[in-house]
Amino acid sequence: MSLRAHITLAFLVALAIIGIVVLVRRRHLKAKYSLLWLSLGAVMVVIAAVPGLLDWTAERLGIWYQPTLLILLGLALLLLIVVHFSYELTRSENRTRELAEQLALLRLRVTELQQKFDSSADDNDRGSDSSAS
Amino acid sequence: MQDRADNRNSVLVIIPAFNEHETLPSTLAELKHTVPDYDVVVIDDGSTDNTADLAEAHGAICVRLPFNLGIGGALRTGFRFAVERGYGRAIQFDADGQHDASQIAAILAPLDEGADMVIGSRFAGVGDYHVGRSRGFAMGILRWSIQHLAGQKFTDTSSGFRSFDSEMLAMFATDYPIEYMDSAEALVLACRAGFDVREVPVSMRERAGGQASNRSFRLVYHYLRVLVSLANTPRRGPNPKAATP
Repeated sequence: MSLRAHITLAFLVALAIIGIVVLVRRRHLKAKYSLLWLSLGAVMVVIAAVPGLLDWTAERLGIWYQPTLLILLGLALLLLIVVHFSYELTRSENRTRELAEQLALLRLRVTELQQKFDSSADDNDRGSDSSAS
Repeated sequence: MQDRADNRNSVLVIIPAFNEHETLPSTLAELKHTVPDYDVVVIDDGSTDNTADLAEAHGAICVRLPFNLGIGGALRTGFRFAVERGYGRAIQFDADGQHDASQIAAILAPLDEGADMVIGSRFAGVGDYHVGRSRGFAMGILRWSIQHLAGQKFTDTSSGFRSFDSEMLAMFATDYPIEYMDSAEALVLACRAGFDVREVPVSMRERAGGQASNRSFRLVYHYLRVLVSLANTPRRGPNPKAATP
């Protein structure tokens, strides 16, 4: 890559890292998730900072057009991040379902206890009341 | 009424219901008439109509889920309810009028002989039940894979007319599959865990409110999903039933 490409890359990566740090500081992004993005940034920083590293590695791997390696790396990391999100989403959905089920059962319990309480509070009055809503 | 000890010998009828205001009242009336001693719990799966109110008005207990979880989630809630209150047996029953309450005795009977779960099958006995070609093909593949995974042959894997004993309920209260076609996956899960799963022929009525998905690409999608989740059904470690001969 040319020097100009290196400078452009370094500039873009710096912007992205600053953006993520700002989001974490404002608590809009959990540190857990920011780590993935920051590690993507770190890889890019190394590539931008060490001229010749990309070309050298690409050559070793038998990649003729060196910038392809950059795209390949980016894609691989993005894929990792997306899979991680699917994992987190599944876990989060499972927890939501669990909560919904427990909430429904507890709500029934509360209604029953309330009715029991109401009927024992004035059991001399009405024999059996069924409507309470 | 909710004393655990009292329910040990009782039977609970679990009815998952999502927007079933048209058929639920007649289903509940039929149950009340045929099996008056059984407790009935309706799991309202986030219905947008008055399903829950109707259930209570017709004398059923109603568990109201805050939003739609799908049939698997509704059933798991029902199994949890059964376990929490210590029911010895439970029946899964459809709200849409497809199931015949007079057949309940038939699916309960094998539990007395040691079965843990009993499936009421449309296909095991008499009666002609027609399915389209693509659906028939998909069902064939499904039946084949289930037979291999479960190590046992079933004629009606999607039947929602089932009975369970307390051990089966205990497992399903925590481990009921929540994916589409939960019924098939539940079969495999139970068989692999070493539970005694049996099938009995029952007669069923035509679906009252017909909404079986018959667009073939959707069918393919759903069956692929089922196959993926079936293929990944965990093989359970120590067999809970093996310990008690």
